[in-house]
Amino acid sequence: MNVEQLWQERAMMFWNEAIRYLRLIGNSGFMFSLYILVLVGSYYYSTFLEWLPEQFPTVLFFSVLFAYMLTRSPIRTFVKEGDLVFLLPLEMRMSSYFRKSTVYSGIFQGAGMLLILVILAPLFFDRIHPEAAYWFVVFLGLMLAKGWNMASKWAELRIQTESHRWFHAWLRFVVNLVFAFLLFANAGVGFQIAVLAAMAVVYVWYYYPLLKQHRIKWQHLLEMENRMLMLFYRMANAFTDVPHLKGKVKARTPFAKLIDRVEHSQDHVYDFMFGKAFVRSNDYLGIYLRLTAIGLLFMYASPFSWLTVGLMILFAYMTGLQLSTLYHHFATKELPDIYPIRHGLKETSFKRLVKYLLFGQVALFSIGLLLLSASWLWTVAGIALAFLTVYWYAEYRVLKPRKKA
Amino acid sequence: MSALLNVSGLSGGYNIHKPVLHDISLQVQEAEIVGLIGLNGAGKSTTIKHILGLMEASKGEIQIKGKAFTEEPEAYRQSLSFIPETPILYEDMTLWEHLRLAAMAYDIEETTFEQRADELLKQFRMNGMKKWFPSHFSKGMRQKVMIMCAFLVRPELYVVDEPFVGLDPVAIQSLLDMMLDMKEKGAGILMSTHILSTAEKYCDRFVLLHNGQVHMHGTMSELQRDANMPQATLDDIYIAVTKDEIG
Repeated sequence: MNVEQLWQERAMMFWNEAIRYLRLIGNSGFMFSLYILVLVGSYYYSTFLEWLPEQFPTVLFFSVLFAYMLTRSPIRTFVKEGDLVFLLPLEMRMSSYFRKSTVYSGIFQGAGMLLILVILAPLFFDRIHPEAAYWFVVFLGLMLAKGWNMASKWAELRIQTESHRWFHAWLRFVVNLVFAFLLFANAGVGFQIAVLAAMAVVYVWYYYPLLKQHRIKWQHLLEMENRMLMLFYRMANAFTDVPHLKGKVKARTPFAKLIDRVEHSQDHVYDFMFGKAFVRSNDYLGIYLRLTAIGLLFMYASPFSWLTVGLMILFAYMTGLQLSTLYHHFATKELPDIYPIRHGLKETSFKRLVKYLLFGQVALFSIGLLLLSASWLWTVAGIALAFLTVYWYAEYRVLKPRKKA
Repeated sequence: MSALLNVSGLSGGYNIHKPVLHDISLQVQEAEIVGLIGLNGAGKSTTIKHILGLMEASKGEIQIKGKAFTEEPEAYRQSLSFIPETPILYEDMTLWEHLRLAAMAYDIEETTFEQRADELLKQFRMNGMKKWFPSHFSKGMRQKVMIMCAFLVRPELYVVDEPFVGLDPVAIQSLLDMMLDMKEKGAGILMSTHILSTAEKYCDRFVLLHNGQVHMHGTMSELQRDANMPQATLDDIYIAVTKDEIG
């Protein structure tokens, strides 16, 4: 089998799986909420533009946003763990495989940038340039720069030392920022072409030779691939149970130390295990903190008390959904099965942890509600309702299986 | 007096219609090391899974101190610890936390745990790695973590599946010394291994599995007598008895 076929097969495999998840997401009411959001959003958009003060640094905002999107440029290689053994001897013949990956990733990320550019188009026409033709020029320029970034990133991935890779990424960010600024500040085609030419020169004289000097860093490619795959799975996980959700472990010593306070006894074995896993794995802690922060932000932005209460419960519920997969964290391990602990301990421990976490979050939300809400009735009812909901969720819902993709 | 571990007439496997094990009987007494010897696929790991209570026998019985798993599951599991062939570690826990977890799960009191854990860490020269995560461990180090967790518990019965692979020579010696020490203190050890020369030196008795059946069992001299090969090593005997089927 040739490597291009291999690539095709792997991309297909991913999409076969992805489409099933996407279909599930589409059927889950998410799309409907999205339509509503778009309708409401477009109605408020013009009001927002009028409200936006003249001093708002639009050019800088556009430049930084797109420079960031240009610089990141991750590459989906569809590399698998076994490749580190089996494809290693093919490395020299795999350039067309990885070229496909780079182009594929570039197209997707380019489409993402196009989407953002479309969403921001009214702001663009209002503040940057009134003509559609120039919008196309910007689009074209960004796509060319994206191409350069993808190609350069692919070369950068061959650098062994992490700090060096970071340094390269920062340099690219600076170049991208300059380029984006010249585009959005409408500095004139001459300048923009000059930067593009400089990019081309840097690629030919610096990046291209890297491809020849260094071997492919498979381990690093694999890490990047897993990270991107996990991002997709985690997104899908908001709607359904995704089985193979695994990620990097982070030490997080201060938080992990808290778990050490768990009583040293047989009854608390699972408190200890789930606690450590929550703090360190799959970014459960990160999701928990982020959803709490975003929840507070939404509550702050909500104009009506009833909506604030609704948002509070919604975010607590969403947090609960995310936590529910933690239960299966040890499913592939044989050891817990032979511990001499009583049946049912795992369930009790897990429900207790979820309850504590959600109570903590709802307590925070409640403080927010106290500060924000004008209506005492809604405040009291909201707090009571939120606590009841998470209690009900943790006690009766969290261990119920959800629809499978 | 009943044996510490008593397996009698065990048949079982993953599919009830295609049993992997046929009528296996073996005993481990107190203060005894029994070697479970067999080729890849002979049924060693399946036997071990049945003993651990991870699989249900279609026929036969397994008892530890006269009690079957179904009678008192917690007491049954409390009295054995297991060193798996492939180390099973929690990627999100440090070395020290693995030890603490084992202590909690087997109800080892905190001060006893700390004292034993410190000794074990010294013995396996992993003192400086207490806060390391498994992703930084080599195969041998992972195996050491498993060994330390098992010996931390000090159960009556050790079930050890192919423990030597990946271990450095010093660690192998530590492991063997510890097994002998525990044996002196009255523990029984069932050890599956392919390193027959080591097994010959350290095991009191042997059970030779072949195609899911007990082919031979007994002490070294009993095996030599039964195979009609006086002075032969365990290697020779093993190869001789399985030759027909391999050849």
